[in-house]
Amino acid sequence: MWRHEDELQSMLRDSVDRYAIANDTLVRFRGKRGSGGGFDTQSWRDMAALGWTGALLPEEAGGAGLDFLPVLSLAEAIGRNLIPEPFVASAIIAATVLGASDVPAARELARALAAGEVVVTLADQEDIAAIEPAAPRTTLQPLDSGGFALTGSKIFVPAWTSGTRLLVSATLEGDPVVIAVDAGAPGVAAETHRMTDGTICAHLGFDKTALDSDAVILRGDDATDAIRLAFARGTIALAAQLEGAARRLLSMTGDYLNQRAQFEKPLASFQSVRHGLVSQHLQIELAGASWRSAAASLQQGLTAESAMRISAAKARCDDAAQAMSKAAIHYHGAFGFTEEADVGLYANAILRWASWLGNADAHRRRALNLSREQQPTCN
Amino acid sequence: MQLTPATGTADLDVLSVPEFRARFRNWLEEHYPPEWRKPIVLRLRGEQEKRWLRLLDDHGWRLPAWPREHGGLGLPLAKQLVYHEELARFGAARFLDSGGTMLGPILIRFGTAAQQAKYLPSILRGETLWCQGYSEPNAGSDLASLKTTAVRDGDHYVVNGSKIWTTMAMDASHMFLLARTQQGLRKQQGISFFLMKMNTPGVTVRPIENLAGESEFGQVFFDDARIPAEDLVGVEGDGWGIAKALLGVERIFVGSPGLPRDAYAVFRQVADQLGVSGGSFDALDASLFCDLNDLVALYEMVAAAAVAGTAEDHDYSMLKLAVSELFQRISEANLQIASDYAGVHGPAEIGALKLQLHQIYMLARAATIYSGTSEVQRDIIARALLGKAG
Repeated sequence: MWRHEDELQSMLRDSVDRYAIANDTLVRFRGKRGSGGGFDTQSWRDMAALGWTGALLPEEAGGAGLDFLPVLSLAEAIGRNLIPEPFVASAIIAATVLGASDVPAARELARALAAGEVVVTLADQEDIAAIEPAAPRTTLQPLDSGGFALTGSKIFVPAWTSGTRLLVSATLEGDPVVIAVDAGAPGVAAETHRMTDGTICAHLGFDKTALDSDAVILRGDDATDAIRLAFARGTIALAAQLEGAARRLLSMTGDYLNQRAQFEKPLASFQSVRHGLVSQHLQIELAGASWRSAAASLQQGLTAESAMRISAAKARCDDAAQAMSKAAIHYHGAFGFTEEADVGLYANAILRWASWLGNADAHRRRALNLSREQQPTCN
Repeated sequence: MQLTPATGTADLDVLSVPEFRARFRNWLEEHYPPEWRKPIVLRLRGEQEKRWLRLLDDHGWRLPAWPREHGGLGLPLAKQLVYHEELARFGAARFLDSGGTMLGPILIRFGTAAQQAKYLPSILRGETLWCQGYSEPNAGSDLASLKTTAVRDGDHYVVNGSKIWTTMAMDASHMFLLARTQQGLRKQQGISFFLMKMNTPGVTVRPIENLAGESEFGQVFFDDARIPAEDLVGVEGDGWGIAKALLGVERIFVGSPGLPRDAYAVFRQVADQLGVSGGSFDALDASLFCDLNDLVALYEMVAAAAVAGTAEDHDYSMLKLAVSELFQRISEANLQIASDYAGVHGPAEIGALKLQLHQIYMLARAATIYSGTSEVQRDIIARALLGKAG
């Protein structure tokens, strides 16, 4: 439902739609998904020129300095058009962390991200199925010679390429910190996994990785708060991407059912088929309402209330998109089961997005726990 | 209790939406009869309903949607929504008020000045209670297939046939009804809209007990019942259009999340009283909690669209579908966690509480049937999504 968009939101959405049409995104997605990082560095620069990679970054850094709410229109449209570049990982999550820091290393990374010269990603997760930011076991040791040594490991670090810049969460003398690290630096070991959206996640090991003294970009509560906000924003943006993808699958499926005739009637005229798609539509509308309500709640601050709504939104968008992708395959019949059908591209991307940053079960449970903390009993 | 009006209508314009909400909420806190504070299970009827409508009118809170020149509050939709939300949030008993919500807007739009002068003031004051005579035996959701006839005879129409599932038929003083005045046309044509006193000779009412143990609805029989011709609303034969004209923005109120929200409060009460906890309960609770959260988000979005004038018919269908099905799911979950108490007829005394689990479960059965079944709603949405069914 786009009826409540303001001018900026519809402008951003239109810019993604125009870009997707001009660049034939699905063909590009198909071509990129098995090679390299699963995306295109030239396209990343194109997206920077359109202002997307720096959408959340301050204007001093060459960013657009937009509020989070309109930026979600980009996420929704990027999901809908299946644009493979790591918008959520880099332009939302990493940019939120960078935006919280004033140190030169962070400013330079922010500038380079806004310019599309680099992909930046947050390496935080240390445990499987983690849904909250880590209390890092990864440690940063000061060296007598000046500088630091980083030791520990991270899992499922998204948007991986050999040139990706990392923002690593760690502990320094009991304080949480975020450090800027080059993926190619000595002492960084990467075990890579090709994900179903075509991108790569890395499990990283740091073995006394040597870092300069100016590599720490955030320390203490600033580090914790920035990562929490990055998670919150990333989760909503991912939910918006999922809703966008589901909505496109619904329209693709509707079009297909209207074109195909069987038993001398268009498939779209059979009531069982029609009601099946209505069920999908209802879930997608709930998904769209849920993430928008979460985003509005986050505008009031990162509270237990907004965290609860964010989790509810991620759970709904995961489930709605998963259900729609299964329905899309099914309603395309045997063709839907082929590699050639575009619905499979979406179904695969949705698998990755739905499992990233906490799946539906985990978020539903988190939403419930947060609500119980707010209202211990109902009597 | 003082009868000084708490507010004047001009006053309400000055208030922001949150201020308006606070004003109405405070009034409810102060003046709502505590014995009626029974959400879901209590619906005011007869003398109780009249008393409530009069109380609202005495205090300047009667009929948010009616224009001021007809004695209503003339509120914009945003404040009308708040008015209904606050009633639900407060836990006020339901009330049908077909005269105020259904007939009033029709008379204001289609009625003659004489009809408006004759009927509107008594609706406003709660002196007349109306029931809606649309549904007929064997028609189901196919309202236009109605067979009740009205034949012109001098200054009157003579009505024969029957209406069924007429809510509050026993309590109403009047009925507005659809009857066929011309045969042999397309089924939506030749239908006319009439107003009728329930004590008209030839009208009889048979109450029908429902599964929730109430006799709220009934069957009405017309046996040469004579309606004065001046009680025809609009032009003869235009009845279908008149009845349909109301099924627009008013449908947002059928989509209010009040019933599932109240049912979920009961769910948590049952769990607390019985000490239900653990993995499968948590999974159930988590899914209901999120369903309710997202339904409220959807309601707010459709309400905002309605206020902006961009909501479409299928949006209301979607909301009605979502609300009624969630109300059912929660009412079923209540029984699931109540285990043995699920079989108790009437109120279940669980711990310190008396909970109407059985009644809520049965009331929820009706939700996917009334105001257009879920199948009809799905057909409406499917047309918007996929075009006509061919």
